[in-house]
Amino acid sequence: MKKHYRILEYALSSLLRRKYKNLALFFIYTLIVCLLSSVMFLTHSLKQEAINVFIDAPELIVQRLLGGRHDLIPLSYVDTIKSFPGVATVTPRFWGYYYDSLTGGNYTVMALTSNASLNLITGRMPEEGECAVGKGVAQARQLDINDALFFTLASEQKLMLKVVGIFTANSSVLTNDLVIFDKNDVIRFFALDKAKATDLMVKINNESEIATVANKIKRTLPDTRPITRSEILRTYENVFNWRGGMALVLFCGALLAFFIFAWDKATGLSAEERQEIGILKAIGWETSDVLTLKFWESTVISFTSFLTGVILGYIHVFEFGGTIFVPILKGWSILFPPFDPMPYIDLYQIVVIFFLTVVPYLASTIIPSWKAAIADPDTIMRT
Amino acid sequence: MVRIEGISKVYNTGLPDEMLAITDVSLEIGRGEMVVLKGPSGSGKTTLLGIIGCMVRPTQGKVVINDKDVVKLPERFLTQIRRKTFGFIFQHFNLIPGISVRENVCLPLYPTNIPHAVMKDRVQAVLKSLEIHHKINTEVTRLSGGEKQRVAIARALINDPEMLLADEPTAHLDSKLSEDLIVILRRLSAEGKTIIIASHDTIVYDKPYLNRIVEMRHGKVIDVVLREPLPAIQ
Repeated sequence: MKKHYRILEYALSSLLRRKYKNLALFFIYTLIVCLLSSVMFLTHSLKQEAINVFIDAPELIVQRLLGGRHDLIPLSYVDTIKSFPGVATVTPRFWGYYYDSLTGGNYTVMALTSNASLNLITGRMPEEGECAVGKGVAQARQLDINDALFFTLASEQKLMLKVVGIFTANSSVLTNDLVIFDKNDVIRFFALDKAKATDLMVKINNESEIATVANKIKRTLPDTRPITRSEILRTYENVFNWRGGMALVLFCGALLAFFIFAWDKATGLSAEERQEIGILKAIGWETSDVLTLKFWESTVISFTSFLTGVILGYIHVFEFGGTIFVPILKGWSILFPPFDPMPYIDLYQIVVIFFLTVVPYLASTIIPSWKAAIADPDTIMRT
Repeated sequence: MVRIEGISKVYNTGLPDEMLAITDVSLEIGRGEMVVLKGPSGSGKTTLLGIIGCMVRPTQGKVVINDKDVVKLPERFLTQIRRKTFGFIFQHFNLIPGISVRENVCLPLYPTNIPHAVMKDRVQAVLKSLEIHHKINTEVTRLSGGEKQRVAIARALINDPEMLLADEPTAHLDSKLSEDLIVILRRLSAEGKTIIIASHDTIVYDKPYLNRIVEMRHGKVIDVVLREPLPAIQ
């Protein structure tokens, strides 16, 4: 035990001896671990967002297509669809996008529906002349309860609504750009035809019949386009997979940089390091003692860099919203208001990063030392 | 104590730069002797010293240390022999830069389980005997050449070895410091240590108290002068 303690002590003093080199090593190592862990945290968080969005998605949405373009759907379709066996409820939805020139963000303006799983942080849901905003919108516009929110209508007129509630949702994607109005306000806001809705949300009694009901709707009302939850999920998956792919490219880049860095270490010891191993062996250190020394040196460097890198990666993603990767990993619709990834951490991810960084580094430093240490001291010092 | 029979050493065997360092060298050194391996640069002194000290493995021949043939021993046994039997004083001191005199001297003891207090006492004692204890906390690159040499000797002595091997110990010292070093080595010899010095410096090999002068040229022993040395200094 005393022996190991002394070798550890000497390892620390060795690291301090080459402090500039080791600081540079620590900095590069930490940076790479930070990049790797940021990418992992962010992609995992985005996937979790997708799952949460999916939880809130309706089982079936019916839109109307006119000449291949999305159009408003007549409310008369509600009764037709309701008459199909297996359909529990049909709820018209009134919504649209609004570009806020003040903040440069796109908001989703929606009439309050019963199925939205929104958690009010403060206040209540709106009535006519009022609105509730997502946390992200409230932060972007610096809104609080009872504040007035102005919107510019298509007719250039201003619409003033009183903020009566601020909410969050399971998914911050929903929280960030959503503004809830009373139904009449939405109709007025988008100048909608009172006999039409944006789309219809259909609830089916038996989930296994969703596809059958969707087919029946399409056959009966040929100008409609039923979209099932699984199709929505697929769309989200495609979007997130594409982003995940971009993340993978970044991840591979960072990993490649790490392996180049590790290879550089592995290709040999410096003359100074070889000389030191030779001296240690000449004065009575065994090969195992030299390896213990190198193991401690590498462990101190790799563990401190790993921990610092992971912590910095966490702070980068969950405190600063993944500033470096956000433009690549997120879509236009959620670029603004700011999207804050929810901190979802998986131990598996940490273990993967550990095995991708610490293990190769330890191997790349110990193997050349072992190759040097098994030779005669004279041979080590000569080469 | 040391018996060498028909030793040869070839470096870089089979390569274009293959070099025969020593050829068919036989030698016997008794306990407590003070021996000088004398000869010009490239004569094979350092290689022979390395072979005696189990730092270089000979290509051919037999090396018997304390009645044990060490040539075929695995590296870990050679390490133990190096630790227990030999203390090395290198030509360029080979101190580890960036750490103190104390740490450099303690280095051979780190991989042992010697208690800290014993280690501390030993370092103090050995540095005091070499009159360098006042520099115990000094970083070694701040020392003069003579001081570095004393620290190198202290490190070689810390394990209380039976034999001290010194490779060109006066190469980086002026004549005054060289004389001081010889006095130290002579004192150690008087204390019963076997001392083997590889040197081409007359200050070293012209001394009357040497037991044996082994002259080497082109990797061969060309002459061995045996002497009845003067009484050791007290």
